[in-house]
Amino acid sequence: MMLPSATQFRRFGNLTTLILFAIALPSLVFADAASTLLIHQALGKELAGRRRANVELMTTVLDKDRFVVYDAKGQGDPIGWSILHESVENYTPALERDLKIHKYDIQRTYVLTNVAEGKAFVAIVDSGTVTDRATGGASQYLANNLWMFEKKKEEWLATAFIHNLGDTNAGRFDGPTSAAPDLEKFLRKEAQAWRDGSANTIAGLYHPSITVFDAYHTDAPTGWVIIFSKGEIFNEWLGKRLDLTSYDIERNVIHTNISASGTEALAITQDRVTVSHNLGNANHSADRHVLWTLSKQGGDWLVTNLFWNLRRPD
Amino acid sequence: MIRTSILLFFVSSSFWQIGCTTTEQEVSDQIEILASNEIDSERWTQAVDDLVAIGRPAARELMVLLDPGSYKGKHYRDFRGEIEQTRTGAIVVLGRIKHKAASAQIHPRTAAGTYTFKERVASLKAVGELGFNQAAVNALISLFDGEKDPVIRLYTALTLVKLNEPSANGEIHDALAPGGDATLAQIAISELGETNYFGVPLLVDLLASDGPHQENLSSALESVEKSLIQQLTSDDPDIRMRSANALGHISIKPNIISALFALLDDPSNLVRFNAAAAMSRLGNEDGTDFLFNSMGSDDPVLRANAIKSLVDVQQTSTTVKDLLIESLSNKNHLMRTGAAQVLGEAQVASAVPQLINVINDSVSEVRCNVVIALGRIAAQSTREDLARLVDDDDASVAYYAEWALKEIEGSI
Repeated sequence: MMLPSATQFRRFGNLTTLILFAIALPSLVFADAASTLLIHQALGKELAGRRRANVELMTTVLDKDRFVVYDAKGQGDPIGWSILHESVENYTPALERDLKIHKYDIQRTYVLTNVAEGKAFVAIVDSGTVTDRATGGASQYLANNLWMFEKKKEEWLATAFIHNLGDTNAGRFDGPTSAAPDLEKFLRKEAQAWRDGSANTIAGLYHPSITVFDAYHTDAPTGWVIIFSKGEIFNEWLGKRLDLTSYDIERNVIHTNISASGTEALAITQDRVTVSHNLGNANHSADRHVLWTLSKQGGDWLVTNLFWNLRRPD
Repeated sequence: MIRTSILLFFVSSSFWQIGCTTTEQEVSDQIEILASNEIDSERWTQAVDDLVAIGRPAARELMVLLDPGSYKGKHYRDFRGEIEQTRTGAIVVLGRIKHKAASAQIHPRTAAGTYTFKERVASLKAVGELGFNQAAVNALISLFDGEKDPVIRLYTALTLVKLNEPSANGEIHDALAPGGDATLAQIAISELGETNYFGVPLLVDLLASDGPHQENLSSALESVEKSLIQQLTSDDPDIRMRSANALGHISIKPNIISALFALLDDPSNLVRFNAAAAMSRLGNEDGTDFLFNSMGSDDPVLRANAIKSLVDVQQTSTTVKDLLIESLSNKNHLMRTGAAQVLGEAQVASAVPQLINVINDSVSEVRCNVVIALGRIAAQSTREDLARLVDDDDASVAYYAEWALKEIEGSI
């Protein structure tokens, strides 16, 4: 029996890859399409519930373990955002109150659905009329909303809802800013961990189910990309990255907002990131704004979402 | 036996997997070196060379770097500069290993948009390395419509030369014109030295005109000439053929002639005839004899090749005209037929009197080709002689005599 040559094996390898790719690609494409469909179905339930004032239907699509509502107040600049509700428990009575007062007759337009391995975000525009049930007075309703989803046991559940996102014309937020000392300390600790090159310390500051976005210096969510959808992939990248490079992060915490009960927070930092490479002498440097969402668990803050390179409006 | 086969299979598979993993790791390591070093620095260039040495097994990982959408997950890079360094390196390597499958990914990126200036220049050079592709040529030609950057325009024109498309040669002439931008001229000269056989006619043309860069252009042509001579021993007959043909446009030098002479025994007909035509164009008798002997051969394939080559030589030089006219009175009717064909196709008007001399040749095939040649040249003075052949005994001669008269009428 003749052994196949290395070239034959390489060909076989390529053929195997090709066959696997041919099998996997359609399933990947269909997986994304199927996920989009399921997410839209979930948001359809939420919309139907809102129209019928059925809070139970609306909340079936929310993740009971982790769901936060952020109020963007028509601002594109995240410094103007705040935390409105920090859990489903907290959100449900507020919804009940609102739906007793208002009748929503709205349509939903899907602007973007970005699915990445068990995580997704959906940009939608809700428009129509809102009627005051008591007075019958109607007003026009228009809101750009952003929903974030996580797939849990084959079910897509909403983990965050950013309500009334501003567009590019909204301009820079010029209201007061604040920085909570413990959050500022936490964010400085995170920057120090990067400077120390300690992947484990950094990973310990992040929620296991963290989602990391690169906003590519745009304030329009249509330009944002989920770059890490799972903590384990991020940690793997982090480990390799910090083996090969050294980071220097100069961080300026420009705003924080903590929820009423102190369990959820958001923060905006302005970072100057410089990296040097162990395998060469190139240096790279960039200024970036970062939006952080955080959750307090067991007394410690953990980063739940990271938006790198977010553009603040001019 | 079955056990042994299974064992051997697993052992071989393991070796193969280890081989793949090792190569993947090696490619991955070199990509990190690209990311860590400035473009064109010593280590960056070394990493490119090492990836070229790995060759096709590196292509899959390098192709991933071309897609702007792939920089996420384990491929994420947080600095555009790093992406530029890795992507530029990947493009250079894919071009140098001539990974044709990369063409569809690279040529759309030559346009302004997601790629940086350095990535675009590397892409243009790579498209030139990957060879002719109609989609790439169309994309490059359309690029001139909106492109304002003179450097990108020049690289585009130079890439088109590498793809044997001369329509943008004006950009190169402009870059080398007196009083032109020194940087553009430097790029043009440097890249013309890399244009291989397709750039030879343009280089010869540029050297024939007066200009401020003649010395550098001459060096560029010498560099191309050296590559062409080396390529005469390539395994690919197409490369041997094109290299031989291009050398015939340069100048008569002993090293060129001896290298071409060796190809007169090449197993490929096309290579032999292109080498002979090149020698003949340069005025070498061995090449000319080869073509004329083949023109008189009984083998129709050899005759067809000889005629095609002689037409090319006649159109680009004056070295064979007298011999062609002389051949009209050769004893061998195949020589007379062939000479008439070449003189007609090359539209040698000064040969009309000699063609008229053989218009009544005893061999109808000769008469027929003389008539066709006169129709192609379309000289008014030949009308009466052609009119007499309208009633020739040979139907083909009579048919072509009528056709030739119509051609002459049409040329008025």
